[in-house]
Amino acid sequence: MTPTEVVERRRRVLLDNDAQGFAGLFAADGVMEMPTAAPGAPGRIAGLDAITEFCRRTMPGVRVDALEHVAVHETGDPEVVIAETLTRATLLATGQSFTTPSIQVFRVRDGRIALFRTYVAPPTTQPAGETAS
Amino acid sequence: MTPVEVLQRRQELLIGQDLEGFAGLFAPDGVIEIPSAGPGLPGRLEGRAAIAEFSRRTATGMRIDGFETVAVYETADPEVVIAETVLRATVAATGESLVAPSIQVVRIRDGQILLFRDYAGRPSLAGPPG
Repeated sequence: MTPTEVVERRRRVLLDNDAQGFAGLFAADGVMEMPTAAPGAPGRIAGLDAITEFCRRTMPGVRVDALEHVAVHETGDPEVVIAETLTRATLLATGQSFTTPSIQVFRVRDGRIALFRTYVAPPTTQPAGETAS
Repeated sequence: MTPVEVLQRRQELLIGQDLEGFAGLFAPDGVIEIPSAGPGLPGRLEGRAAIAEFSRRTATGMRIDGFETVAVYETADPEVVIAETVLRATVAATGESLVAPSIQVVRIRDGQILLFRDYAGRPSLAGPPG
């Protein structure tokens, strides 16, 4: 897969809430970085095993309802693609929906994600049952 | 100025607390978008005058100590550059140091910023004051 195809594939596995499929996009020594992670949350996860475990632990509690690519930027570095996204999701425990703008820097080598750096804003929550427009 | 030079100039002006100079980097109809703006903060500022007014209002009480540029990317669109940066600042009242990683998508035409879209998290304390 090209870097741009990996970004699109990421969108589809998240819409399918496929934690294993998402983790499987990473290289064996791939890294996930979250520079804007809240205090107490991990800012960096290194290696496919750790990423798989993290996805398996965190993804089932959240259902992704929509994931819009606001823009996908190819860069001067052929390995790097940057995606601006708008995600609408629901916390299954409470039914609370939220919308989160975010942006990810993907470094893709040989069809696998070597680096996934995501800047996620604090979510804007909505009352349960409401849907974002 | 090239887009990369405009970003460099922005950092210098902010460190020098030259807010008029900062606003002057924008086209008259330039826009700042802050998709991650929390409650009470504007998500979008339109026009150089609004940008200057907002900058003056938010700059008080905060000293910008420096920027670390993690990466700058040129994109397939020659007008668009993307920069990952870490801002270091000090709260004047308390002496607390803040660290704010963010990433900016910037559209620059004829040396002027048309769009500055800034994705930032909540600033976190860097450590004890001083």
